Amino acid sequence: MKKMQRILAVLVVLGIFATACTADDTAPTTPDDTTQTDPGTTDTTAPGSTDPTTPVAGQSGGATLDEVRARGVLKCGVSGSAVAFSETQSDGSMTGFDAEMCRAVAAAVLGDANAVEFAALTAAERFTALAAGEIDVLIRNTTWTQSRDTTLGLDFGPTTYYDGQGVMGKASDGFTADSTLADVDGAVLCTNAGTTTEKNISEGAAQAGATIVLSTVAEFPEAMEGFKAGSCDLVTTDASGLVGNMVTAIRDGEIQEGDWVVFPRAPISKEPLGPVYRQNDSQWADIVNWTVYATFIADEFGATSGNVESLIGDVDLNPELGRLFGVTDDELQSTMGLEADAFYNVISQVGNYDEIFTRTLNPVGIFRDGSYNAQWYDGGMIYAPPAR
Amino acid sequence: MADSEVFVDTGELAPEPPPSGAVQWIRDNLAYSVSSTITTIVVGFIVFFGLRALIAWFLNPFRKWSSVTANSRLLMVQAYPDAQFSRVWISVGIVVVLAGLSAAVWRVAGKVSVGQVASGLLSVGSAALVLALLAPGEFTGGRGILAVSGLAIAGAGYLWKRAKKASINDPVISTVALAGFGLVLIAVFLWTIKLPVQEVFADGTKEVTSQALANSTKVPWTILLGVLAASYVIGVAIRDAVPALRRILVGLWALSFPAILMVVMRAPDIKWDTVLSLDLPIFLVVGAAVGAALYVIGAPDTGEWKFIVSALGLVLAILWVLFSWYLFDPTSTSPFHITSSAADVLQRLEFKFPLILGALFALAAPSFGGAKAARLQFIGVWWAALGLLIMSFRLGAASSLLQLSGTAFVGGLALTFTLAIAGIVLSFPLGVLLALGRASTMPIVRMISTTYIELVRSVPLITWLYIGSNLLNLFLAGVVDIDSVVRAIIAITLFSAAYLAENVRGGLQSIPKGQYEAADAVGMSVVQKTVLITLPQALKAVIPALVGQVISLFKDTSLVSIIGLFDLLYIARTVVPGQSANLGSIMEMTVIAAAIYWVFTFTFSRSSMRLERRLGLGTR
Repeated sequence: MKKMQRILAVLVVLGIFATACTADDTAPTTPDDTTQTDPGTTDTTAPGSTDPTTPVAGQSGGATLDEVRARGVLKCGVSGSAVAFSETQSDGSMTGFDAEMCRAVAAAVLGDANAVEFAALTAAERFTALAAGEIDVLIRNTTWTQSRDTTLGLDFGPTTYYDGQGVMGKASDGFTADSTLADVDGAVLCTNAGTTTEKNISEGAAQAGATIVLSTVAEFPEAMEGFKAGSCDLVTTDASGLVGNMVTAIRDGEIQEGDWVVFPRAPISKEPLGPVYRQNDSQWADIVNWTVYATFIADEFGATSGNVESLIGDVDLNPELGRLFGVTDDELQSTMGLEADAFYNVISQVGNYDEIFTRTLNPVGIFRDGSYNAQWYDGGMIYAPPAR
Repeated sequence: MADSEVFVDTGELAPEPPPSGAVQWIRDNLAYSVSSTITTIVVGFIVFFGLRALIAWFLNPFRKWSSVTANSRLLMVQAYPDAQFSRVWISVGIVVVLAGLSAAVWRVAGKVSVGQVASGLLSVGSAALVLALLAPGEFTGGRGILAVSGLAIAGAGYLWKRAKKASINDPVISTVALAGFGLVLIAVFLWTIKLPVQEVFADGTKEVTSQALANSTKVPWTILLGVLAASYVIGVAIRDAVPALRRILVGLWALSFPAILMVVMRAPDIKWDTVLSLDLPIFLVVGAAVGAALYVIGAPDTGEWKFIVSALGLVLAILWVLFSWYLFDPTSTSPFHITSSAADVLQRLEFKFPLILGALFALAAPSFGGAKAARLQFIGVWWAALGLLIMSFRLGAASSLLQLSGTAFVGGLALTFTLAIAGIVLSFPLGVLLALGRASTMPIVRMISTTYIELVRSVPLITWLYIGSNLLNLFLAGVVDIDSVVRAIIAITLFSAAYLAENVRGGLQSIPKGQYEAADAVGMSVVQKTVLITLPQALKAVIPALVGQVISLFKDTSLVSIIGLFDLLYIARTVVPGQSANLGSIMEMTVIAAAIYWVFTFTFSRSSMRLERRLGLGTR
């Protein structure tokens, strides 16, 4: 026992020293620690004196571009399990609409569309990951809402895909593409829990005067299983997801074309999806925004990954494209901190908006014609400010 | 005729043999009362329709089983790079070699009788046949194959039983031969069984081709099966020649996990000039100096000053770690402040931690010292611990050569195993210390341990994972950049240690007081008493509880998907059903994930039962 007492005494002395040491941690930081060479590590407060007002790393203005350049790779947050938007393929590669947008940003910033490190994020942790600086930009089929924009310390870029919530039913139950929410009275409606989908459909059905039995499951694929097995009369989620599931079922021979229908014609809710970045970094916001706009403009003026190389040598090149690709005016891109040919790299390596859309969303049965995602001159909402 | 003289006929008849037969069995076991008959019928109906629905679901032609084979790599290691994939095979190879050697050295082989094997075949075959007959629908495809193979297996078992009726219970079949036959069978299946694989093209059309079960991996798997057999044969050949083989293998198993994780899978970029100019000198100088000190301090005739010296050494070493930043490095303000990454912290601590370790060894030296041989053995342990410490610093500080996408360098089953093994290995010492602390007579230690255990146990694991992942990252943003896998391991370890501590404490309380008193009577120190007398007995007593905890920890790792790590279950339930080629495959993938979990947890529980039998647990 005496030995243990001795050891205890030593530990007590040690504890006193340790306490004294923590008190010393409030000593002012040396100038060396606040150099801007590595913006990710400027917080020098030691444990025990954590100052809640200390800015979180990565939120300082203008830092993201330097960080990405220094790293040589763009960290892009995606879902990794959103059909046609960001799918993890069996070899681990990332494909889909959102993944292509990430590649476009990498092509603009680093000149290499493959210099992307995808971080597959769950819906719950996507905003935290962005705020904590684990990713540079979040392109994860994220709906732009007022609360997200104003309370999370984040900003939203231009909408890349206009989605809307729909309902899918079976033609054998009498549903058609012209059905409305008033027709769903008394039906069992399945969806996944924890999203705004649930709230939207309850509000929509109540407004239309229909009573529904709402059945929620953890993941949307489970709701689809219930729909196929007949335990759900209807399923609801974003229309893109419903169409994707329907087209796959037709492809796999489970149903015939026209067995399932998606309605109503006007979606239940507005779901504008687009890139998200940390607020107070205007330079980075400009870069992400104008990368998206560059794909819109190239689509508008017919520049594709196939013809862009011959286009820039053309004397009759459209002046707007000339400015966009840095042929006639290299001021526009360089004032943003990019190379003059940044958007040329985007179009030549990734493609314009229509190419990206066709490549990723057409296979699951989602088309631009007649949708909000058509160009403005075709009656859609894809509209970029002029590049000049 | 000596026998007849002893035999006395009392006029009683020999007892009648008990009635037997199928009807009697049913009467005895299923219908021995009215209520049991009703129960049997009700349960029978439930089992019948349940099995029928289950088998119909499995054999449904729309089931997308191809999603499993197409994504087997994603399930195992997520996005491990193609060019480096041989590292995965080397890791599996290390485990396979150790498993083969261990099977030989621990003599798992035995003999079984023809009756046992034939009965096994008969029951497996008839079960398959019954399932096939139960299924609704036509006798085609999977149902036909199931019925025919079931009939063939059951028939073979029955005929074998008939043919060997006389010697049916003689243990003549070696389990090694059976296992070898199984390996050959698996290899044949790998090459011959074809499954449809679906490929979807950009225009939305698809093509279904027939591919071998493990199309791209059949060659490495076949080689690994051969390696398993070969290492068993080598193990049999050398097990008598090398008496210390068991201890060597235990050491290799212990080293295999960190070696696979840090060296093989992570591919550290080791700077050999640093190793030679820095690590080796530290190892030799500190090792020799502390080794000499241990030799003197451990001697039984050394006076009381040894405690003062070793305690002072510990205090000085810790003070050096804490204050060296102020004294020797003017640009630095705290031990936790660094300029780029966790690697730098490790790099700096490398100089100081060997001294702390040395001081701890010096404190323990009087307990483990004594005669010259004991002291030399203790010094050997010191050298090994020092070597491991320096090596882990070097490996931890080295950057990875791998070009990996995503936040974690492993995913899928590999991540599940990384988290589970690291959690178990790290929480074990912490949990034992906490248990000893809670059972201790020292009030401060007991209070700290009790508070920790009660605090940690009162909060769900999900919360700790969130704290470990998000809060830790926000608090330490820019101070130290901890990998997301490490954050999860920290949370799991801290959580599991609290539960483990309570299990171990239960074991400590089960030890009779006489054991403590006997240890005191022979003059053992507190450390000796704990390490040599009470702890081994306590741990042995709680093996079932510990294995239960290992199994639940293994399954609890699936919770890490909420902090963005892609474990087996998340990939199966969310990632794969999100591929447009495999949309609608969530039930198939969930069933496969369940099967994978079952295989491993069942293996754990079987091995623990074996361990309990070996230790004679529950029999005395």
